Amino acid sequence: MTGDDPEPAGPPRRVDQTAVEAYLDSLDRADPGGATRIALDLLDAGCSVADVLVDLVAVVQREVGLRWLTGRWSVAQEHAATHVSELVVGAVAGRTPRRASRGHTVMACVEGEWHALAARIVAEVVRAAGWRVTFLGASVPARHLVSYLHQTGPDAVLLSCVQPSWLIRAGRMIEACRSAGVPVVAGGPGFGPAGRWAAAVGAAAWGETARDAARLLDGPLFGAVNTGPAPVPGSDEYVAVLRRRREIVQLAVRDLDPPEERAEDFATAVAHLVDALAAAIRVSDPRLLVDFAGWQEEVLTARGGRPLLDTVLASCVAALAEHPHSCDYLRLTREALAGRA
Amino acid sequence: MSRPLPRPAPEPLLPADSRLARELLDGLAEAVVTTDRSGVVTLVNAMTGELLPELTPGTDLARCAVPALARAVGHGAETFDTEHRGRRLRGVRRPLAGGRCAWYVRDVTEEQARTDALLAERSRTAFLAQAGSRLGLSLHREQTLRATATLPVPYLADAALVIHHAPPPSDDLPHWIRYADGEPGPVAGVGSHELTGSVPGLAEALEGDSTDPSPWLDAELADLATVLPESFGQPGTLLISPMLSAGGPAGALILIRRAGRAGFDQRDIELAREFSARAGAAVATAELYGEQAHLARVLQQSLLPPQLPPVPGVTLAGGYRAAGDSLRIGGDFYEVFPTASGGMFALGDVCGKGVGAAVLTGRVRQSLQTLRLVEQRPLELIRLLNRALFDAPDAARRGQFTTLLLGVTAQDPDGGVRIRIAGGGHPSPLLVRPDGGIVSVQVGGMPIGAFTDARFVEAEVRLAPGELLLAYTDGVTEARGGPAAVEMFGETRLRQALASVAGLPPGAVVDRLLQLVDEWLDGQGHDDIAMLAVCAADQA
Repeated sequence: MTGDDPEPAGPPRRVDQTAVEAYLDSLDRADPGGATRIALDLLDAGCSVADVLVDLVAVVQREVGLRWLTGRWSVAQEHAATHVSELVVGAVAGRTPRRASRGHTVMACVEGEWHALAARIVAEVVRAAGWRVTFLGASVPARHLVSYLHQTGPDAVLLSCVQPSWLIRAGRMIEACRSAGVPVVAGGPGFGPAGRWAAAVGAAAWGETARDAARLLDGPLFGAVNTGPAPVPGSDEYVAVLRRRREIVQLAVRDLDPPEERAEDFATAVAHLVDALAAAIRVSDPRLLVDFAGWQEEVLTARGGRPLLDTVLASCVAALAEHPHSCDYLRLTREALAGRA
Repeated sequence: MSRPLPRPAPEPLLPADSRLARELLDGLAEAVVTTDRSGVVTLVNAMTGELLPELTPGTDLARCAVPALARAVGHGAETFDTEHRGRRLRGVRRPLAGGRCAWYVRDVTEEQARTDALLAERSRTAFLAQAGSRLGLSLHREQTLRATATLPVPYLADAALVIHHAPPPSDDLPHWIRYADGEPGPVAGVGSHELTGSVPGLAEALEGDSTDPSPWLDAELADLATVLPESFGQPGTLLISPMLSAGGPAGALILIRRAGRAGFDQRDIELAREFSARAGAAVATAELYGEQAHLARVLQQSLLPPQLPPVPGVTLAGGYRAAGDSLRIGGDFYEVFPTASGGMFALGDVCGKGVGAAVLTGRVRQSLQTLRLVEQRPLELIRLLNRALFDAPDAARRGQFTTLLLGVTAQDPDGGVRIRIAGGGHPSPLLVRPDGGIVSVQVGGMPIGAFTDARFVEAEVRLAPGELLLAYTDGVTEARGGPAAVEMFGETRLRQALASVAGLPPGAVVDRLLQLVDEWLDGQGHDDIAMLAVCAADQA
């Protein structure tokens, strides 16, 4: 069971490279009409909702992210393209018959996570597989989620986390869901390569794509009893790191001494790095920090910045000298970055 | 004087007296069996006669009538453990000189019973502890009922059924939730009226009374059998317990064991009663929460920002973040109504926060909904609204007021949109040009609902295609955060943010602003935040 729709009319058509390129082209031109036509034509040609959303919209969205990351597209272009894809998902959803017979799931993005398109795609694919899906949208505060769970008693929560720096928040949300007796299916690269950190923060399962989400919901995970094994406690040093976050950020920004108009951007970036450090300690895996710092360095240098991460990491080491895990992880990260250069 | 040295004994003295040896052996609490080198029994003591009367001298132990022992001999094992003649026996083999050997067999029946009892007690405690914590998790009625059906399987029964009556307004039929061993999850359904009456003890349990477990009689329980899964097999016994709670029974729990399984003993019954009482209490709590949440939801639905209706000639998007509370209601609001010539929009901020502000917000929005039916010119409408709010009982004494922007859109033939905006003391909306230029649209006016002689003003603005108008509440600019956590987001940052998304559709602009403010706050508390973006619709 992949969440595909049954019985396509005529020989089913697959989403091919031509369609992908045409779609990317209409995003480049910010042309919602053209993009929607491509998607709906594929549906008419026998593609399932999952085919169109996963193999077309999600695939192209990765390319959009890449273009933003490498500096080929501005933030505004990326937002415009994403907006078009959101309209397309809406149009595809409008074509899906609602036959909610399987149970009720809730789709939410971790608080602070504003990239809701991937989550929206998951919601629609799971809906097409016969579930009733409530899409709570981007950046859902944990308390809103919990109050919603108590009011509606869904069978499962699908939680999207794109950035590993939000993993601590994701863990808190999962804990809240578990304590309301609802299991969580985690999704998104924020839970690590192949979802390796999902179990450590208490998720009952992890899926890479929207199809995985539909498949996992089919599994025996979701009786009333099973919210999955409890999260792994790990070191509590991350609590100390988070408590000193603001102080570390101020110190690092002072050491960086950026031009005034960029000071706030830098502060935000450093704060995310500290979040990633805390998350790495939480799941006892320095790779989380190494990967995140590598990604940040890429973002910064793609926009013509000089490599700054080493300065930031050095400031963090100074600020966190008495915390052994932190120093260890930061040292590993500096070595890895030096190796890349 | 010397004494002769005792002669050293060549080896420890063995009683030469076979009678003494016999008496010693027979006095042992263990059975002792010796065999010769070919495995034939040579000697048995008195206890052997009690525990293993099958064994007598001359028996070939490998073929004896104690299967576990014969197997042990056959396999050359050192020990055996078996149930024999109603006793638990444990034997150990010791080699003797000359290829002979001895088996020492102990009766461990009581020891085993004590261990079993302890383990059973432990597993009961663990079951109740787990059940208690699971039942306490959810505040949702259905989910608590599902947990109630799932938890007793397989520990207490092979299938569990919860019979309950759905809360009013609802039919009077008995609802059931079933979980049987091997099913992927609980299944729910509605039973016939006859179900309650046809199952002996069920009506009593739903009234709160307990009955003893009873054997399953196919003829009597035909109605109940339809509720079990087809593959379940032949039921053996059932036990019905009331799910008691402070407010009367919340339902009944039916536990069913298959024919092959032993019936419910006294401890099982006590455990089932205890469990169903806990479940009843949990359901009652969830029902109470459900009623409260329903009330809150009704209130919330009338206060939450609406899904925006399509308005000819413009595209619109709204964004909303309530100040921290799980009800998600507050004092900021927006509304959009289609009109004959275009559309009308309103964005407002009621002073104060929490439920008090939410109630006034409700009143403002209600009044607006009604008054716009009779008056659609913004300046006239805002005056009318001021009168209506001011005339409301107690309004002046509470000293609450509202700032408001009220706009009416009309399509221009060239694809642009003209907007007349009346202001009631609200932050000026911002006009965003496609090239990133930002202009503040001065509207002004006084807050509504506070002064009888309040003055209001009206401005007109024209949006060319690609231009966007953003109305927002002061929760946006006054959001405190940033590196020092105390700085306000401010209009400068808002303008910069808008410039960076100039030319994007309203939905993308609003999302981006919410994101930036959220990042600025960085998890800190904030006031209500609302914004509404309007631009001329694409001609495409």
